[in-house]
Amino acid sequence: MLSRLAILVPLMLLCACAGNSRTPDRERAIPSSSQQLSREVPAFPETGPIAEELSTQIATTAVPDGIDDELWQQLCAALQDAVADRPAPPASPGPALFALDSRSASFTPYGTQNMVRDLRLSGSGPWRLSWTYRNSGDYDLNGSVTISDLTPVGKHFGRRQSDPLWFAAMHADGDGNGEVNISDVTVIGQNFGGSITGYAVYGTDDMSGEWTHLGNATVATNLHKNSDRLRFVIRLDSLEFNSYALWPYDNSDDEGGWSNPAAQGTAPDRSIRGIRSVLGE
Amino acid sequence: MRLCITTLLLLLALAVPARAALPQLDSVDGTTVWMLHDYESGGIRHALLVHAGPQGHWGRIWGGVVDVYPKDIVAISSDAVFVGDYGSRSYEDFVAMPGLVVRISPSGNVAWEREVTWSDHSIHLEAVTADSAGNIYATGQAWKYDDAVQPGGWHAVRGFVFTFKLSGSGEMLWARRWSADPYDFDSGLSIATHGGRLAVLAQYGGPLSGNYFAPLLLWYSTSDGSLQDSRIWNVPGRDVYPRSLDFDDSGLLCAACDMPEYSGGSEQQRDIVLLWFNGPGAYLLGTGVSGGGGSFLTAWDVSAAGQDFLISGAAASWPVPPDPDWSEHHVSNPLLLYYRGHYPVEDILLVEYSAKYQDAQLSTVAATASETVWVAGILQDAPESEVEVLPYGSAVYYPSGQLQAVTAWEAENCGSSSLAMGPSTMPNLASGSLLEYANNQRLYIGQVEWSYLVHQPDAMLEASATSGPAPLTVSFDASGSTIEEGSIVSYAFEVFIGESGASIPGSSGPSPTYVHTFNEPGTYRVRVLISGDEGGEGSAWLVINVS
Repeated sequence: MLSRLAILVPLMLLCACAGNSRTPDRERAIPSSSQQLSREVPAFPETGPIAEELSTQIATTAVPDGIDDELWQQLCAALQDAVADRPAPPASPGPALFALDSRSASFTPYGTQNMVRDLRLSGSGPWRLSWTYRNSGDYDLNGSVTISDLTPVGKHFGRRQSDPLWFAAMHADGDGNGEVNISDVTVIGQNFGGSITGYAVYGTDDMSGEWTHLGNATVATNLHKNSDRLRFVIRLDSLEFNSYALWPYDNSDDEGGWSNPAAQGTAPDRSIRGIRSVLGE
Repeated sequence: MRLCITTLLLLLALAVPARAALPQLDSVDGTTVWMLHDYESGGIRHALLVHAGPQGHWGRIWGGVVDVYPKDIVAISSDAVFVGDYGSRSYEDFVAMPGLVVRISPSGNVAWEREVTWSDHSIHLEAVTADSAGNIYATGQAWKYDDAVQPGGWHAVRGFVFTFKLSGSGEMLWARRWSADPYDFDSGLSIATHGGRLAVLAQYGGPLSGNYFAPLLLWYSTSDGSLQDSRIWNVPGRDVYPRSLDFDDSGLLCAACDMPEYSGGSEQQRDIVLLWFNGPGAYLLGTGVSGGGGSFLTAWDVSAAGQDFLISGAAASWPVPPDPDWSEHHVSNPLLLYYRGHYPVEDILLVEYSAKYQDAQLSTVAATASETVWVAGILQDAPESEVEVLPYGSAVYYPSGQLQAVTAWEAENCGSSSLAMGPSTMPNLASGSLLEYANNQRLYIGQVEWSYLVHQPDAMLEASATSGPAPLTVSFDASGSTIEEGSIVSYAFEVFIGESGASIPGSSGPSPTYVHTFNEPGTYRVRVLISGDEGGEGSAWLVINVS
């Protein structure tokens, strides 16, 4: 683990290590490193194997209870279309922090939309380390994006935000349009094969030094699934370190990108709500 | 894209959008805002100044018989100082042209003008700032052509970073140059000062960075202009374009850059890179902001107030898969990033003013100690048929949120005098008014709205049983719910029957527990809605199957 940290920590932390080679009219103290910011988006899985895997899953999966057979066939067909149309990376909802870990991980969560960037350390003893689960397309919240994620779509198909039971359906609204419908299948297709087994949590007193592995929080046991906010909340009875960070991993030990680091006192107290534009709209 | 030095100048013009065409603004106290933009009238380029404040609202066109390229503006007390230059000439027509510094009063009058020269070089001033004592610091490039003819019959540009200090009355106090031989070219400069230090961010391309573009940070003493530190931060094999920098109150410096990613000879993506310095020396942390594959994020400006950093820019994307002729299809949205301290990012806002204005960017941001944040930018190429335009007008928001008027101006007011005054007043403009340029760019100014974070509880619900025969009595416990800050003040339980949405209200109050007996077989969902003392809410639920 330490050897891996030795590689990954510099990727995440653009530390202030500096040699000092003075030239007559300048210092060039910051060592250049292509690794420091040379982010590579993890390789997106090839469509062919994914489509084959999907066909296998369709062939071996029975129509779930409570879902109309015709609707299930429509959802399966839509999913096949979505997978076939996915040579492009998943649509990004907007800018996010770099995935500074450049390791290629074909089935580890990829894409900036799945990165944890809301890791928070709060409280004053005991403390809580909390973050939001991000795995686009994992509607049934089992950690993997598979054909089983069609089940919540089928069960709640047509439910809208105004529905009293929306709280039970909302996690199947993957495109966020306030309705569970066929377009939510596209998100499954774009992320089919993505998997998070859990998050490896690390702590350090020196952001530019070594990070200590504190343990793992798994989707199976630590995720609050029946909640409007898909949250991991880890209780810390003592603060062993000043800063904490984590990354997702899957059952092949492939790793996703680092989260933001969290330290005491870094929680925001306000956020930008918008800009009043003179354009009047 | 590895840059050959011989093409640096050309590529700069093509690959790096110049700040000159984008509006710049600054504000000292939150009640007054100054904005600077370039403006073409009668075939001559001018400086367009917009001012709104307690002393009045007006727009002015500043120019003369030759082109003026305004670059940056800083508010000093109730005045403003802007810098610019007179543009470039070809080798054959080269004449050393001075840089331009102009101080403007709130009434729109010119307090003084200075033309700054250095030997036989032309001066392109690009950035200006001021300290609390009212001293003015500006930076730019001093350059001239090399007489040696390069292969291909052209002449290389030789230059250096030129930085100087003026008193508030325009007296030159010191001037410094920074250069590198044999090859060097600097552009995209910005400047900021804090605690007796002056930081200049420039763009370097030369052997020290493997002939790729890289940010160059120079530190000077404000008192005597002595160079304290100079550093180049580069990523081998990658261009990194510096954009802007600013200090927060503690002296933490944020330098914003963007980094393109090339593949197959064309740019595929552009990400923002933020570097943080706490003084002359190495950086603390770097942060990358990416929109993902095929997106183009550009950081245009950084402004800090207190411990807040705001970075304005643009987020463009192209269709997936990319269209080879992406310029026909890419859409740019205004982008605003908000940081406190150097990490983590606290808010990223992708601002979409309107679906029908689909190509826009925030070129400049000004944060003030009064927590007022101004932004300005341009809209480009909005279809005429979809836009209602009030030509030659602009509008500014005040901190109160009430739309205030700014004057309008007309091209014929731009005469041959050095200062061409537009109409001093105009009737108030309705909300929605904007300024239209001949090239179909539209200008806007807005004010950032903040909301203080309301902490939301993380709800958690447990039950003594989730299935069993009727009648089934189940105890529900939500005491495992948590909230980051503050406290949970109420727990409201509700029992939903089947899939119909019909429900039975349960207990509501400070108790996190609830007991319910299910007398009929069926499927139920029991939900608890938790409220925090700040008003935040969270909910959790369980499915109960009664046989």
